[in-house]
Amino acid sequence: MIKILLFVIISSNFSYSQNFHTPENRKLFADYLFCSKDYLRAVLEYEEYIKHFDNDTVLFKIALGYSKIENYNEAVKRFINISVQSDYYSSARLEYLKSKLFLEDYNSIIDFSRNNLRNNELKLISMSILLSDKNLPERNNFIFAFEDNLRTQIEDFFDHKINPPYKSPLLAGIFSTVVPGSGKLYTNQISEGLTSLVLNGLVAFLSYNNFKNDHTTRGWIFAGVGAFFYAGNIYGSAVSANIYNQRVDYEYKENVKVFLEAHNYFIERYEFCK
Amino acid sequence: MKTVTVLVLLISVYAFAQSEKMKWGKADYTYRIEISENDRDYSVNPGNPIDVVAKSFINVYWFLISDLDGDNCPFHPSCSAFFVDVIEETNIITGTLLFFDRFSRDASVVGRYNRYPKHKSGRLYDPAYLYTSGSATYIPASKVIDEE
Repeated sequence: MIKILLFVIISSNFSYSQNFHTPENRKLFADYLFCSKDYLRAVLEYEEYIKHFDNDTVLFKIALGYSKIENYNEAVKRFINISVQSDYYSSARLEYLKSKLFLEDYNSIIDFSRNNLRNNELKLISMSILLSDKNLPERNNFIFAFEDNLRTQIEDFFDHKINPPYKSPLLAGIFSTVVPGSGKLYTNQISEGLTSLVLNGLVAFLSYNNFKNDHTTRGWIFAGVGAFFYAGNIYGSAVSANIYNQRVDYEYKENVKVFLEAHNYFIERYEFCK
Repeated sequence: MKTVTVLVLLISVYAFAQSEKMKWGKADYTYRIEISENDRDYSVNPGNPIDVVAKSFINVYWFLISDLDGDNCPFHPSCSAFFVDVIEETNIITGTLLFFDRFSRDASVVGRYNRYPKHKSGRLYDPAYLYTSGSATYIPASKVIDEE
């Protein structure tokens, strides 16, 4: 009797058991992972699913998943393979350009030559021209893709690119030659400029005072040290102007990237997880 | 026999198991700043006369002054290490000029923690390559540098 009972229980367990590894269940699980922002595992599950079924949405979500986990090289490969017939083809093109932006491969974005470039693609191409070393096109040709409310900001970026507010290393050096420390003041290094002025003045005074009081040796020592401080300040001011210019470039690129992020790279939000 | 086997098994499990106390015990941690003096390279390259002069000067300074005075430079690398690096990367004239510039920047104490990136040791990160690479390199002050 007990054996029959055990057999019934075991066989009923098997008859009601569920296979979690069917492609449909894997897709359901992957959808859950994707919406939980566990993109890496979602991609792995989707990869298993597409071994059995061809699905455009899943292919796009795999590419998007790679992009979300910042594996942009893999994302680029997946986005470029989205078929023209897919509903996500236009989004895939934009996502491709976005991934290329993150890879800082601006030249391939600018050379992105496909028929019928869409407005948002033109915007991303324009933004990558701002970030690259390429020459800018005509102002009107550049800004026409952007809506009126964005044009002021885009024109600011455009003007900055044409005429960046650089400081001249030569001028900084000349300033410091005339008045020690003034080259640093010119490059916005206020504290360092004033320190150099005081330091050079102090050493010069010590040298002068020692010569005046017939302490010739000490006078020469201070004069020698002062000469090094003076020359070092001139050279340092020129280098400081170079660093200032690097900072201008860095902050400009950061501002463009913040602008792009604020506008979600001109990509509409997806509704995969309602 | 069964009881003995069970007892031996249980005792061995308890004996080798990781206790909660061990698992969650207080970690030993030191808050002392790493001292770079221990990593100093006193070697001199005899084939290079400029290196011999500059390195001899710096070695004497390290041995007689810096080691006794303590690790006080607010920068990483310290001014003397900067001098050695900058001469290696450029030449004696440019290196000396950049060293004197660094020295005057060292004297500028107002607001410098907002101007330089930070090194993991807590010092201000200001290595020679920022000033010697073809075009100077900018690192934002908010950045913490993890490298040596």
